[in-house]
Amino acid sequence: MDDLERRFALARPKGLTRDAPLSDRAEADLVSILGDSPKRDRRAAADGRWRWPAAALAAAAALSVLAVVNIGQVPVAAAVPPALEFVPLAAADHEVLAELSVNAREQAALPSTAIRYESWSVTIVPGSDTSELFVQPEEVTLLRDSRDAGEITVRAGGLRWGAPADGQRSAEPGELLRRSTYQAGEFPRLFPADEPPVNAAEMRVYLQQNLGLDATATAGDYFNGVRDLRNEWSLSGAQTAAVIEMLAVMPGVQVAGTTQDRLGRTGVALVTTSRSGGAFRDVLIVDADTGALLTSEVDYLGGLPEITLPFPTVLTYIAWKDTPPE
Amino acid sequence: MTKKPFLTLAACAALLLLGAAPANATPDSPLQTEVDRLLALTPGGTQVDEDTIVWDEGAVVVNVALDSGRASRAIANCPTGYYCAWTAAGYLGTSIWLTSCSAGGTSSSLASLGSAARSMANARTSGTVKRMNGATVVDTLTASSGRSSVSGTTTAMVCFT
Repeated sequence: MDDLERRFALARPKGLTRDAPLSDRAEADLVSILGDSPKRDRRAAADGRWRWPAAALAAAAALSVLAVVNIGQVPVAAAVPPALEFVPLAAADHEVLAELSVNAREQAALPSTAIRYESWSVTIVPGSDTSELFVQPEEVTLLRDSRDAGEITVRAGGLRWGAPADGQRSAEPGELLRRSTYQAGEFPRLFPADEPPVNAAEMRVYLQQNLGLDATATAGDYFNGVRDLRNEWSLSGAQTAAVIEMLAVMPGVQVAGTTQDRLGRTGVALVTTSRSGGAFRDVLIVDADTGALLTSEVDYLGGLPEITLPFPTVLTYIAWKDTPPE
Repeated sequence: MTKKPFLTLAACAALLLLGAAPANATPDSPLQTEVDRLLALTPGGTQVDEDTIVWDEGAVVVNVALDSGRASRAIANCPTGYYCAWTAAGYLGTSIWLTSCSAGGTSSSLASLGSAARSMANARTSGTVKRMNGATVVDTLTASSGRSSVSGTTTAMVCFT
Protein backbone atom coordinates (compact mmCIF):
# COMPACT_ATOMS: atom_id res chain seq x y z
CA MET A 1 0.00 0.00 0.00
CA ASP A 2 1.64 3.22 -1.02
CA ASP A 3 1.29 6.50 0.75
CA LEU A 4 -1.53 7.84 -1.36
CA GLU A 5 -3.52 4.67 -0.96
CA ARG A 6 -2.88 4.75 2.75
CA ARG A 7 -4.29 8.25 2.95
CA PHE A 8 -7.30 7.15 0.98
CA ALA A 9 -7.76 4.21 3.29
CA LEU A 10 -7.61 6.46 6.30
CA ALA A 11 -10.00 8.88 4.77
CA ARG A 12 -12.98 6.81 3.84
CA PRO A 13 -16.02 8.97 3.54
CA LYS A 14 -19.50 8.07 4.48
CA GLY A 15 -20.62 5.99 1.56
CA LEU A 16 -23.98 5.75 0.00
CA THR A 17 -23.17 2.84 -2.28
CA ARG A 18 -20.44 1.28 -0.33
CA ASP A 19 -19.44 -1.68 -2.43
CA ALA A 20 -20.81 -0.85 -5.80
CA PRO A 21 -18.36 -0.35 -8.63
CA LEU A 22 -18.40 3.02 -10.28
CA SER A 23 -20.01 3.56 -13.59
CA ASP A 24 -17.97 5.13 -16.34
CA ARG A 25 -19.81 8.38 -15.76
CA ALA A 26 -19.20 8.30 -12.03
CA GLU A 27 -15.58 7.61 -12.58
CA ALA A 28 -15.36 10.44 -15.05
CA ASP A 29 -17.00 12.77 -12.57
CA LEU A 30 -14.68 11.68 -9.86
CA VAL A 31 -11.72 12.35 -12.06
CA SER A 32 -13.17 15.72 -12.91
CA ILE A 33 -13.66 16.63 -9.26
CA LEU A 34 -10.20 15.67 -8.24
CA GLY A 35 -8.40 16.58 -11.40
CA ASP A 36 -7.48 13.68 -13.62
CA SER A 37 -4.91 11.28 -12.37
CA PRO A 38 -6.19 8.15 -14.01
CA LYS A 39 -4.18 5.32 -12.56
CA ARG A 40 -4.54 6.00 -8.88
CA ASP A 41 -7.88 7.69 -9.04
CA ARG A 42 -9.34 4.53 -10.48
CA ARG A 43 -8.06 2.53 -7.59
CA ALA A 44 -9.55 4.96 -5.17
CA ALA A 45 -12.72 5.19 -7.13
CA ALA A 46 -13.14 1.47 -6.90
CA ASP A 47 -13.64 1.97 -3.21
CA GLY A 48 -16.55 4.16 -4.14
CA ARG A 49 -16.06 6.41 -1.17
CA TRP A 50 -14.18 9.58 -0.44
CA ARG A 51 -13.57 11.81 2.39
CA TRP A 52 -11.43 14.76 1.58
CA PRO A 53 -10.14 16.04 4.87
CA ALA A 54 -7.27 13.67 5.47
CA ALA A 55 -5.94 14.02 1.99
CA ALA A 56 -6.62 17.70 2.22
CA LEU A 57 -4.67 18.14 5.39
CA ALA A 58 -1.87 15.96 4.25
CA ALA A 59 -1.65 17.82 1.03
CA ALA A 60 -2.54 21.34 1.93
CA ALA A 61 0.93 22.13 3.08
CA ALA A 62 2.13 21.28 -0.38
CA LEU A 63 0.61 24.50 -1.51
CA SER A 64 3.30 26.33 0.35
CA VAL A 65 5.89 24.03 -1.00
CA LEU A 66 7.22 24.79 -4.34
CA ALA A 67 8.47 21.51 -5.58
CA VAL A 68 7.79 18.03 -4.37
CA VAL A 69 10.25 15.54 -5.61
CA ASN A 70 10.60 11.88 -5.09
CA ILE A 71 13.39 9.79 -3.80
CA GLY A 72 13.53 6.07 -3.77
CA GLN A 73 11.86 5.67 -7.13
CA VAL A 74 12.61 6.47 -10.70
CA PRO A 75 12.54 10.25 -10.72
CA VAL A 76 10.01 12.21 -12.67
CA ALA A 77 10.62 15.57 -14.21
CA ALA A 78 10.43 18.40 -11.74
CA ALA A 79 10.76 22.08 -12.33
CA VAL A 80 13.81 23.52 -10.68
CA PRO A 81 15.67 26.77 -11.15
CA PRO A 82 18.23 26.68 -13.95
CA ALA A 83 21.87 26.13 -13.15
CA LEU A 84 23.88 29.19 -12.28
CA GLU A 85 26.30 30.33 -14.96
CA PHE A 86 29.70 31.57 -13.94
CA VAL A 87 32.04 33.92 -15.78
CA PRO A 88 35.57 33.25 -14.56
CA LEU A 89 37.61 36.11 -13.22
CA ALA A 90 41.13 36.82 -14.34
CA ALA A 91 42.41 37.55 -10.85
CA ALA A 92 43.58 34.81 -8.52
CA ASP A 93 41.09 33.54 -5.96
CA HIS A 94 43.00 34.96 -3.00
CA GLU A 95 43.10 38.38 -4.63
CA VAL A 96 39.38 38.35 -5.26
CA LEU A 97 38.60 37.24 -1.74
CA ALA A 98 40.91 39.85 -0.25
CA GLU A 99 39.21 42.59 -2.24
CA LEU A 100 35.77 41.37 -1.21
CA SER A 101 36.84 41.44 2.40
CA VAL A 102 38.22 44.97 2.14
CA ASN A 103 35.06 46.16 0.43
CA ALA A 104 32.93 44.54 3.11
CA ARG A 105 34.83 46.12 5.99
CA GLU A 106 34.18 49.54 4.54
CA GLN A 107 30.44 49.08 4.90
CA ALA A 108 28.57 50.49 7.83
CA ALA A 109 26.68 48.31 10.26
CA LEU A 110 23.10 47.52 9.32
CA PRO A 111 20.26 47.55 11.80
CA SER A 112 19.05 43.99 12.29
CA THR A 113 15.37 44.65 12.67
CA ALA A 114 14.15 42.22 10.04
CA ILE A 115 15.43 39.53 7.76
CA ARG A 116 13.79 39.26 4.39
CA TYR A 117 14.57 36.80 1.67
CA GLU A 118 13.25 34.96 -1.31
CA SER A 119 13.64 31.24 -1.04
CA TRP A 120 12.91 28.15 -2.99
CA SER A 121 13.53 24.61 -1.81
CA VAL A 122 12.61 21.12 -2.77
CA THR A 123 10.40 19.06 -0.52
CA ILE A 124 11.38 15.44 -0.39
CA VAL A 125 8.65 12.87 0.09
CA PRO A 126 10.19 9.40 -0.09
CA GLY A 127 8.14 7.03 -2.18
CA SER A 128 5.97 9.73 -3.63
CA ASP A 129 5.82 9.90 -7.40
CA THR A 130 4.77 13.49 -7.42
CA SER A 131 6.34 16.52 -8.84
CA GLU A 132 5.49 20.13 -9.38
CA LEU A 133 5.98 21.46 -12.82
CA PHE A 134 6.61 25.02 -11.77
CA VAL A 135 8.90 26.94 -9.50
CA GLN A 136 7.26 29.45 -7.22
CA PRO A 137 9.56 30.88 -4.58
CA GLU A 138 8.50 31.97 -1.14
CA GLU A 139 8.91 35.41 0.36
CA VAL A 140 10.04 35.00 3.94
CA THR A 141 10.13 37.73 6.56
CA LEU A 142 11.54 37.19 10.03
CA LEU A 143 10.81 39.92 12.56
CA ARG A 144 12.37 39.65 15.97
CA ASP A 145 12.57 42.14 18.79
CA SER A 146 15.04 42.50 21.62
CA ARG A 147 12.96 40.21 23.83
CA ASP A 148 13.21 37.41 21.27
CA ALA A 149 9.57 37.73 20.44
CA GLY A 150 8.59 37.97 16.84
CA GLU A 151 6.96 36.61 13.79
CA ILE A 152 7.86 34.56 10.74
CA THR A 153 5.74 35.17 7.69
CA VAL A 154 5.86 33.17 4.49
CA ARG A 155 4.08 34.44 1.42
CA ALA A 156 3.95 33.10 -2.10
CA GLY A 157 6.27 34.70 -4.57
CA GLY A 158 5.71 35.03 -8.27
CA LEU A 159 5.94 32.09 -10.63
CA ARG A 160 9.52 31.98 -11.78
CA TRP A 161 10.04 28.94 -13.97
CA GLY A 162 7.60 26.54 -15.58
CA ALA A 163 3.82 26.64 -15.30
CA PRO A 164 1.21 24.62 -13.44
CA ALA A 165 -0.27 21.72 -15.32
CA ASP A 166 -4.00 21.41 -15.76
CA GLY A 167 -5.51 20.75 -12.38
CA GLN A 168 -2.58 22.15 -10.49
CA ARG A 169 -2.83 25.44 -8.71
CA SER A 170 -0.12 27.89 -7.92
CA ALA A 171 -0.61 30.33 -5.11
CA GLU A 172 -1.38 33.94 -5.85
CA PRO A 173 1.76 36.03 -5.44
CA GLY A 174 1.59 37.64 -2.04
CA GLU A 175 -0.80 35.02 -0.69
CA LEU A 176 -0.11 34.23 2.93
CA LEU A 177 1.14 30.67 3.23
CA ARG A 178 2.20 30.51 6.86
CA ARG A 179 2.58 32.83 9.78
CA SER A 180 4.10 31.88 13.10
CA THR A 181 4.18 34.21 16.06
CA TYR A 182 6.49 33.78 18.99
CA GLN A 183 6.25 35.14 22.49
CA ALA A 184 9.22 36.64 24.33
CA GLY A 185 12.09 34.19 24.46
CA GLU A 186 10.51 31.81 22.01
CA PHE A 187 11.74 33.02 18.64
CA PRO A 188 13.60 30.14 16.97
CA ARG A 189 17.26 30.93 16.73
CA LEU A 190 20.51 29.08 16.46
CA PHE A 191 22.76 31.89 17.60
CA PRO A 192 22.84 33.93 20.81
CA ALA A 193 21.55 37.45 21.12
CA ASP A 194 25.05 38.93 21.27
CA GLU A 195 26.42 40.37 18.04
CA PRO A 196 28.42 37.94 15.90
CA PRO A 197 32.21 38.46 15.89
CA VAL A 198 34.10 40.64 13.45
CA ASN A 199 37.25 38.64 12.86
CA ALA A 200 37.73 35.40 11.02
CA ALA A 201 39.13 33.23 13.79
CA GLU A 202 36.40 34.20 16.20
CA MET A 203 33.79 33.73 13.52
CA ARG A 204 34.94 30.17 12.95
CA VAL A 205 34.75 29.36 16.65
CA TYR A 206 31.38 31.09 16.87
CA LEU A 207 29.94 28.89 14.14
CA GLN A 208 31.50 25.78 15.63
CA GLN A 209 30.08 26.42 19.05
CA ASN A 210 26.61 27.41 18.03
CA LEU A 211 26.08 24.86 15.28
CA GLY A 212 27.96 21.96 16.79
CA LEU A 213 30.56 21.82 14.02
CA ASP A 214 33.45 19.59 14.95
CA ALA A 215 36.92 19.00 13.56
CA THR A 216 35.52 17.02 10.64
CA ALA A 217 33.43 19.94 9.40
CA THR A 218 34.18 20.87 5.82
CA ALA A 219 34.10 24.20 4.06
CA GLY A 220 30.64 23.26 2.87
CA ASP A 221 29.47 22.89 6.42
CA TYR A 222 30.71 26.40 7.10
CA PHE A 223 28.99 27.68 3.95
CA ASN A 224 25.76 26.34 5.38
CA GLY A 225 26.62 27.78 8.77
CA VAL A 226 27.03 31.17 7.17
CA ARG A 227 23.61 30.74 5.62
CA ASP A 228 22.15 29.91 9.02
CA LEU A 229 23.82 32.98 10.48
CA ARG A 230 22.66 35.27 7.71
CA ASN A 231 19.12 34.01 8.20
CA GLU A 232 19.24 35.43 11.72
CA TRP A 233 21.46 38.47 11.39
CA SER A 234 21.74 41.36 8.96
CA LEU A 235 25.50 41.21 9.13
CA SER A 236 27.53 44.37 9.36
CA GLY A 237 30.37 45.00 6.96
CA ALA A 238 32.92 43.89 9.53
CA GLN A 239 30.99 40.71 10.29
CA THR A 240 30.66 39.94 6.61
CA ALA A 241 34.37 40.53 6.14
CA ALA A 242 35.03 38.05 8.94
CA VAL A 243 32.93 35.49 7.11
CA ILE A 244 34.81 36.03 3.84
CA GLU A 245 38.19 35.88 5.54
CA MET A 246 37.20 32.72 7.37
CA LEU A 247 36.14 31.00 4.17
CA ALA A 248 39.13 32.29 2.21
CA VAL A 249 41.58 30.11 4.08
CA MET A 250 39.49 26.94 4.08
CA PRO A 251 40.53 24.10 1.81
CA GLY A 252 38.20 23.50 -1.10
CA VAL A 253 36.85 27.02 -1.40
CA GLN A 254 37.04 28.48 -4.88
CA VAL A 255 35.98 31.61 -6.65
CA ALA A 256 33.83 30.37 -9.52
CA GLY A 257 33.52 33.80 -11.09
CA THR A 258 30.80 36.35 -11.48
CA THR A 259 27.20 35.28 -11.78
CA GLN A 260 23.67 36.54 -11.45
CA ASP A 261 21.67 35.35 -8.51
CA ARG A 262 17.98 34.42 -8.65
CA LEU A 263 17.02 38.07 -8.25
CA GLY A 264 19.20 39.10 -11.16
CA ARG A 265 21.87 40.69 -9.02
CA THR A 266 25.45 40.37 -10.18
CA GLY A 267 27.88 39.03 -7.65
CA VAL A 268 30.97 36.94 -7.14
CA ALA A 269 30.31 33.27 -6.49
CA LEU A 270 32.29 31.35 -3.91
CA VAL A 271 31.81 27.61 -4.25
CA THR A 272 32.87 24.42 -2.57
CA THR A 273 32.15 20.77 -3.20
CA SER A 274 33.70 19.61 0.02
CA ARG A 275 30.68 17.97 1.60
CA SER A 276 29.73 14.30 1.22
CA GLY A 277 32.56 13.47 -1.12
CA GLY A 278 31.53 16.06 -3.67
CA ALA A 279 27.84 15.22 -3.74
CA PHE A 280 26.86 18.81 -3.10
CA ARG A 281 27.98 22.16 -4.39
CA ASP A 282 27.52 24.96 -1.90
CA VAL A 283 27.45 28.45 -3.33
CA LEU A 284 27.59 31.86 -1.71
CA ILE A 285 27.15 34.87 -3.97
CA VAL A 286 28.70 38.06 -2.70
CA ASP A 287 28.21 41.62 -3.91
CA ALA A 288 31.52 42.63 -5.51
CA ASP A 289 31.27 46.25 -4.42
CA THR A 290 30.09 45.82 -0.85
CA GLY A 291 31.03 42.26 0.00
CA ALA A 292 27.47 41.74 1.21
CA LEU A 293 26.07 38.23 1.08
CA LEU A 294 23.42 38.10 -1.61
CA THR A 295 22.52 34.45 -2.05
CA SER A 296 23.12 30.98 -0.72
CA GLU A 297 22.47 27.97 -2.89
CA VAL A 298 22.91 24.22 -2.59
CA ASP A 299 23.12 22.03 -5.66
CA TYR A 300 23.10 18.25 -5.75
CA LEU A 301 25.76 16.88 -8.06
CA GLY A 302 25.00 13.18 -7.63
CA GLY A 303 26.69 10.30 -5.92
CA LEU A 304 24.52 9.56 -2.91
CA PRO A 305 22.40 6.40 -2.98
CA GLU A 306 19.79 8.04 -0.75
CA ILE A 307 19.03 10.59 -3.43
CA THR A 308 17.73 9.49 -6.79
CA LEU A 309 16.97 12.93 -8.10
CA PRO A 310 18.14 13.74 -11.57
CA PHE A 311 21.37 15.64 -11.19
CA PRO A 312 22.87 18.13 -11.17
CA THR A 313 19.94 19.96 -9.66
CA VAL A 314 19.27 22.87 -7.38
CA LEU A 315 18.08 21.81 -3.94
CA THR A 316 17.55 25.22 -2.43
CA TYR A 317 18.40 28.86 -2.74
CA ILE A 318 17.98 31.85 -0.48
CA ALA A 319 18.32 35.36 -1.85
CA TRP A 320 18.51 37.90 0.96
CA LYS A 321 16.83 41.17 0.29
CA ASP A 322 18.08 43.42 3.04
CA THR A 323 20.61 44.79 0.61
CA PRO A 324 18.91 46.78 -2.10
CA PRO A 325 19.30 45.32 -5.58
CA GLU A 326 21.61 47.08 -8.00
CA MET B 1 1.84 15.19 -19.68
CA THR B 2 0.79 13.01 -16.81
CA LYS B 3 -0.72 14.81 -13.90
CA LYS B 4 0.30 13.83 -10.47
CA PRO B 5 -2.48 12.75 -8.16
CA PHE B 6 -0.97 13.97 -4.94
CA LEU B 7 -0.61 17.50 -6.06
CA THR B 8 -3.88 17.52 -7.80
CA LEU B 9 -5.34 16.73 -4.44
CA ALA B 10 -3.11 19.30 -2.85
CA ALA B 11 -4.49 22.05 -4.96
CA CYS B 12 -8.07 21.13 -4.31
CA ALA B 13 -7.44 20.40 -0.71
CA ALA B 14 -5.91 23.74 0.02
CA LEU B 15 -9.03 25.35 -1.25
CA LEU B 16 -10.99 23.16 1.08
CA LEU B 17 -8.95 24.35 3.99
CA LEU B 18 -9.93 27.84 3.12
CA GLY B 19 -13.47 26.62 3.23
CA ALA B 20 -13.32 25.33 6.78
CA ALA B 21 -16.49 26.21 8.60
CA PRO B 22 -18.47 25.35 11.67
CA ALA B 23 -21.15 22.68 11.46
CA ASN B 24 -23.98 25.16 11.14
CA ALA B 25 -22.73 26.65 7.95
CA THR B 26 -24.76 29.50 6.59
CA PRO B 27 -25.53 30.11 2.96
CA ASP B 28 -22.73 32.64 2.77
CA SER B 29 -20.29 30.59 4.77
CA PRO B 30 -16.92 29.58 3.39
CA LEU B 31 -18.07 25.98 3.54
CA GLN B 32 -21.09 26.67 1.37
CA THR B 33 -18.95 28.72 -0.96
CA GLU B 34 -16.68 25.78 -1.38
CA VAL B 35 -19.60 23.44 -1.95
CA ASP B 36 -20.90 25.80 -4.61
CA ARG B 37 -17.51 25.97 -6.23
CA LEU B 38 -17.25 22.20 -6.44
CA LEU B 39 -20.74 21.93 -7.86
CA ALA B 40 -19.87 24.47 -10.49
CA LEU B 41 -16.63 22.70 -11.22
CA THR B 42 -18.40 19.42 -11.90
CA PRO B 43 -22.06 19.95 -12.77
CA GLY B 44 -24.61 17.30 -11.97
CA GLY B 45 -23.92 16.93 -8.29
CA THR B 46 -26.44 17.27 -5.51
CA GLN B 47 -25.79 18.74 -2.10
CA VAL B 48 -27.41 16.31 0.30
CA ASP B 49 -26.48 18.09 3.50
CA GLU B 50 -24.41 21.04 4.57
CA ASP B 51 -21.10 19.46 3.72
CA THR B 52 -21.82 16.53 1.44
CA ILE B 53 -22.20 16.41 -2.30
CA VAL B 54 -23.11 13.36 -4.33
CA TRP B 55 -22.79 12.77 -8.00
CA ASP B 56 -24.27 10.01 -10.13
CA GLU B 57 -26.91 8.91 -7.65
CA GLY B 58 -24.46 8.51 -4.86
CA ALA B 59 -21.76 6.68 -6.72
CA VAL B 60 -19.41 9.54 -5.93
CA VAL B 61 -19.61 11.20 -2.54
CA VAL B 62 -17.52 14.13 -1.42
CA ASN B 63 -17.55 15.32 2.14
CA VAL B 64 -16.25 18.86 2.31
CA ALA B 65 -15.97 18.97 6.06
CA LEU B 66 -12.67 19.53 7.76
CA ASP B 67 -11.43 17.83 10.81
CA SER B 68 -10.12 20.73 12.89
CA GLY B 69 -8.48 18.38 15.33
CA ARG B 70 -6.31 16.96 12.64
CA ALA B 71 -5.56 20.40 11.31
CA SER B 72 -4.32 21.56 14.66
CA ARG B 73 -1.72 18.83 14.73
CA ALA B 74 -0.01 19.75 11.48
CA ILE B 75 3.19 21.61 12.20
CA ALA B 76 4.20 24.31 9.74
CA ASN B 77 3.99 22.58 6.36
CA CYS B 78 4.48 19.13 7.86
CA PRO B 79 1.14 17.39 7.35
CA THR B 80 -0.61 15.50 10.06
CA GLY B 81 0.64 11.94 10.14
CA TYR B 82 4.15 12.83 9.02
CA TYR B 83 7.38 13.65 10.74
CA CYS B 84 9.59 16.16 9.06
CA ALA B 85 12.91 17.92 9.08
CA TRP B 86 13.94 21.24 7.58
CA THR B 87 17.30 22.79 6.74
CA ALA B 88 16.51 26.12 8.37
CA ALA B 89 15.28 27.12 11.80
CA GLY B 90 11.64 28.06 12.04
CA TYR B 91 10.52 25.13 9.85
CA LEU B 92 11.94 26.71 6.72
CA GLY B 93 14.12 25.60 3.84
CA THR B 94 14.43 22.23 2.21
CA SER B 95 12.23 19.70 3.95
CA ILE B 96 11.71 15.98 4.04
CA TRP B 97 8.37 14.43 4.94
CA LEU B 98 8.50 10.93 6.35
CA THR B 99 5.92 8.40 7.42
CA SER B 100 7.71 5.11 7.97
CA CYS B 101 7.40 3.94 11.56
CA SER B 102 7.40 0.66 13.44
CA ALA B 103 7.20 -0.67 16.95
CA GLY B 104 10.91 -1.32 16.98
CA GLY B 105 11.74 1.99 15.33
CA THR B 106 12.24 2.79 11.67
CA SER B 107 15.32 4.84 10.85
CA SER B 108 15.26 7.36 8.03
CA SER B 109 18.47 9.02 6.94
CA LEU B 110 18.43 12.77 6.55
CA ALA B 111 21.25 12.73 3.99
CA SER B 112 18.84 13.60 1.24
CA LEU B 113 18.14 16.97 2.86
CA GLY B 114 21.45 18.13 1.46
CA SER B 115 22.23 20.25 4.52
CA ALA B 116 22.08 19.90 8.26
CA ALA B 117 18.63 19.69 9.79
CA ARG B 118 17.87 22.90 11.67
CA SER B 119 14.28 22.25 12.71
CA MET B 120 12.07 19.19 12.93
CA ALA B 121 8.63 18.07 13.91
CA ASN B 122 6.58 15.03 14.73
CA ALA B 123 3.14 15.81 13.36
CA ARG B 124 1.80 12.35 14.06
CA THR B 125 -1.03 11.87 16.48
CA SER B 126 0.78 9.20 18.47
CA GLY B 127 4.21 7.68 18.80
CA THR B 128 7.61 9.22 19.20
CA VAL B 129 10.44 10.21 16.89
CA LYS B 130 14.01 10.11 18.05
CA ARG B 131 16.60 12.46 16.66
CA MET B 132 19.85 10.59 16.10
CA ASN B 133 23.48 11.52 15.65
CA GLY B 134 24.94 8.23 14.56
CA ALA B 135 23.94 5.76 17.24
CA THR B 136 23.32 8.45 19.83
CA VAL B 137 19.83 9.61 20.67
CA VAL B 138 20.01 13.38 20.82
CA ASP B 139 16.38 14.19 21.40
CA THR B 140 12.92 12.64 21.45
CA LEU B 141 9.92 14.29 19.89
CA THR B 142 6.57 13.29 21.22
CA ALA B 143 3.49 13.32 19.02
CA SER B 144 2.38 16.74 17.83
CA SER B 145 5.58 18.44 18.86
CA GLY B 146 8.38 20.23 17.10
CA ARG B 147 11.78 21.80 17.55
CA SER B 148 11.89 25.12 15.75
CA SER B 149 15.66 25.39 16.05
CA VAL B 150 18.15 22.55 16.22
CA SER B 151 21.92 22.82 16.33
CA GLY B 152 24.41 20.01 16.07
CA THR B 153 24.34 17.06 13.75
CA THR B 154 21.30 14.95 13.04
CA THR B 155 22.00 11.95 10.86
CA ALA B 156 18.64 10.24 11.04
CA MET B 157 15.19 10.23 12.58
CA VAL B 158 13.85 7.02 14.09
CA CYS B 159 10.09 6.68 14.27
CA PHE B 160 8.26 4.49 16.75
CA THR B 161 4.60 3.60 16.58
